[in-house]
Amino acid sequence: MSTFASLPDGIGIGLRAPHYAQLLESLPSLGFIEVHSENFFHAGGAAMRVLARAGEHYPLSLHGVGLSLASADELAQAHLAKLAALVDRVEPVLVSEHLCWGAIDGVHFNDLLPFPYTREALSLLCSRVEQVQERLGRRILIENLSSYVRFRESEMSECDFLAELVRQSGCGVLLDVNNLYVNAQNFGFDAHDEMTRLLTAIPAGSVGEIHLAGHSQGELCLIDTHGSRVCEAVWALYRHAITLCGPVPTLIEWDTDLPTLEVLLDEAQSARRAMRQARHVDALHV
Amino acid sequence: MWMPSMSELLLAQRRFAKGVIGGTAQAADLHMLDGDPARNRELLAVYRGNAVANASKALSLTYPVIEKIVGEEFFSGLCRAYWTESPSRSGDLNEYGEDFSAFLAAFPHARDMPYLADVAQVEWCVHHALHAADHVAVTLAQLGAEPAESIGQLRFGLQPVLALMQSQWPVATIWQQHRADYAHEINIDLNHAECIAVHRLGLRVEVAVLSDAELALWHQAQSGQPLATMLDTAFAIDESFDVQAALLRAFTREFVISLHA
Repeated sequence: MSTFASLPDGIGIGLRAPHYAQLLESLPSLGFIEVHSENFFHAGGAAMRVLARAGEHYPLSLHGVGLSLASADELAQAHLAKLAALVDRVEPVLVSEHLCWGAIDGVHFNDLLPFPYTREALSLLCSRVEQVQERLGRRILIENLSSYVRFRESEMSECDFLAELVRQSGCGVLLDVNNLYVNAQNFGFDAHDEMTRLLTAIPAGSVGEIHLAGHSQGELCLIDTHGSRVCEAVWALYRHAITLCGPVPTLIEWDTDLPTLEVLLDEAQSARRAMRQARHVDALHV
Repeated sequence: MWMPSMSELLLAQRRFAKGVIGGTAQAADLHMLDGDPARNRELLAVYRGNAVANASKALSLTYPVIEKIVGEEFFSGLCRAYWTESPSRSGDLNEYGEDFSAFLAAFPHARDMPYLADVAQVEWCVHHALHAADHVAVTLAQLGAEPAESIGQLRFGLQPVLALMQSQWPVATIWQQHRADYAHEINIDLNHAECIAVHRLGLRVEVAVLSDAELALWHQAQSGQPLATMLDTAFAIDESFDVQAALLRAFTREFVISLHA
């Protein structure tokens, strides 16, 4: 099993259709570009051409949303085969998926759904992650989820579950700081403490990427909308994360109400600043 | 060994799905979730909303012309009804909506728009063609370089995504006039049929109107018949069929990607 491909420390943004032309023309300074893997499962076409061109200028990160790793259904081999073909084709520096399920009995919700964090689920997840890593011939990152409900049968917290998954399967972590914040608010736990627990429970270097995004206040709970700027509380949590695990490639994730490219680059600049400050603080402690 | 039949996870996911799909979570199902059952019922409705919204967004990307014809509000109702009947079967939403056309044909509230099903079929072919493998087209000059004495035996390899259709409605005209970049006033005479071809032109996808004879010509090519048979079929439909013009149009549209003696 290969180790993580080396990704220059840096800040990335998503590659979105309304920004294709402007991004490829202006080629702003960015550490990497991330796409949803499923949007590039095709054999060809204009979008595929754009991805190939982006790949000539930036390291690429493939972020999967549809593999449904935690489903009690069989692992979708056709889906995995398409992912493997895309990995071969674009040679990404990072490949990630979510700690979630999205389908049962063949019906797909095309959403990232929570599940009970039990030993049974852990053994399933370990075997699934190992299958995927085997098929892709590389380590993958697994992202913590934002969720609105919790299961009574859960035998451990999500972070403890993820830490155990990392230890047993050898996968890495895609730490979504906003998701952790949303869950902490929705379920009433301390996000800083939970993050510290996670980051001290996994081997150093396990966090391969961080996601930053905005959320919104729903009627019942915080909703992980990825449709606004990162809020101050999430920036604070981000600084905590990079103080604990060092500079890690960080994505500004924005999926709904897409802003101009300038706004994304401005958020990226804020992340870059936070990373520099954390390094500075780190240096003072040495 | 993983054994789904014995799984508590399977049970939990089935209960969750029941609550999301039909909003039919029973008290026993809601009991699996931490906290107030009434609130959890509403939270499952948030997940239901997400699932419907994700499916609707995919349909809107694949069927922009249908959405423009029926309007956003009606379209969102269509999406909900379609999702309830045919939820997604893949983790890749680009595969969602293949039988939307059949659904529209049977949808009682769209009876006064009988052309919708055919338009949807065109849009599915366009969606499919957009993402298909890139091709290199054969030029008319390459065809001209074939030895004249055996040209009748020549077979044409076509773009794999080339879709030929005959509709009782002017589907190509409807499609063209409802594109986002169509700047003129919409003017469609619904009382005429159209034969059409959905094809790739470089990285773009085009919907072209064909004559009856052209449709027959390329149908023959698609079924592997040689040029002589293609032409016989076209002339049987139209004895003044203009071969040169038809081939020029087809080669300009990049229909042909290989020649086989």
